[in-house]
Amino acid sequence: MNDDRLRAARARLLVRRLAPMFLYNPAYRVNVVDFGIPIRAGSTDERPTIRFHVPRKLSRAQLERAGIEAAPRQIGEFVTDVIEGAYVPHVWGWWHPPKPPVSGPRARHDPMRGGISVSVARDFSAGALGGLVRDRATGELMILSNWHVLAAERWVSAGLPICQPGRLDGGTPHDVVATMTRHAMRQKIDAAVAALTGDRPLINEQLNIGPVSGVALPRLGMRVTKSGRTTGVTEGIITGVEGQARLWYGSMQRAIEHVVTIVPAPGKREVSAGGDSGSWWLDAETRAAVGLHFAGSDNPEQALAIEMLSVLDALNVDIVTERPTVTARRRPEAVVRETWPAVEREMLATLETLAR
Amino acid sequence: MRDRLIARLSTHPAVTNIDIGLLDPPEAGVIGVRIHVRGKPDDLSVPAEIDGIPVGIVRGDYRLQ
Repeated sequence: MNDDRLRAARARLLVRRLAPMFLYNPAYRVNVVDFGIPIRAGSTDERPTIRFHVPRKLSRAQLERAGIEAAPRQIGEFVTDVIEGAYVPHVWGWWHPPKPPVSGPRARHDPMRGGISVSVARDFSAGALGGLVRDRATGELMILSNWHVLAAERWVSAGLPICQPGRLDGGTPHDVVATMTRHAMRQKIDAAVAALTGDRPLINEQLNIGPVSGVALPRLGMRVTKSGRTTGVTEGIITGVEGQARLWYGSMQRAIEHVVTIVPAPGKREVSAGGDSGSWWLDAETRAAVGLHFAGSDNPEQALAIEMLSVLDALNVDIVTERPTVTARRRPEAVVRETWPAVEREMLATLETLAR
Repeated sequence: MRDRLIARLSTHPAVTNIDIGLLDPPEAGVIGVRIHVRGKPDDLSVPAEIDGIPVGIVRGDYRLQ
């Protein structure tokens, strides 16, 4: 091993040992400690060295006046360097989440209804809250949407908090309205249900459409309509049924069964877009639910949904067709507040992993 | 027949969906088995019909929404 590589190895070891001393000591105001090219004016030594990143470089007198410790000029064999760098996470709006609009599908709704924004509390994403269903075994009231909206990870466990509006639309810890209960990906159906916490009621109504009358089988040529988080109310025609599709879920391809294909209704250009996943396709005449929207293509403009009857059977739930005003159980807000630190811890761990 | 086609074609990288639906042009109202494909695959050969049921290729490059 040549001298430079040995030097680099020693420096890396030192950085690992020293970093916590400077990063967690408020007397230093150091953001980052690393091993890199020095940025010294007029220096002839350009070999990588140990660097301290600080929000602003100050003179020794300024440091003394501000009560800030100066970073050491030399550590072992290394002449250190101090460079300017004030860093913030480039995660979408973590620190300053967007404010939800006052109305429309991306707004905070009380009571909630189908076609509005929802997401997993720890993810900066947003899909559509499909609608209200009831557990056939327990009678518990639940949200029905897609697995990739309410869970999105293979190893996810029940109890994952769900926000309305979704985090991408400004959802906050105070907007947790449900917890993920179970999904149907093992049956090749991209669907999941989340039990309502009881903080906000969910009524049987699709935003800007009206209440759902029940459930029906999709038919070729049937005129359908949906209310979605991104494109709002759109209309389409069913051109395919009994489909078996194959789609990319992150880095993994999955087969999805009972797929229905929908094209824009005559004279319409758009059926769906990203963020509409989870919305329910209804028979335009009867308002019976026929499909759970989950995917689409732009060229040609088409939407894919999963037959609603198969979705309901796979999850052992029924669509609630009456209009309840109050949800089944009330969960103290303290419980929701308690779940939030765990969500934040998980997000921090993810960020740390990414940073590594 | 749809299941036989699924078994044969589902591993083809360009095939995104296989369903029963209106073949192109939809105005003609002909119902058959449709193979949805991404792009224009050169190596995908599909018979015009199987057991008297028409088979057609339609475009469809789907993503989660």
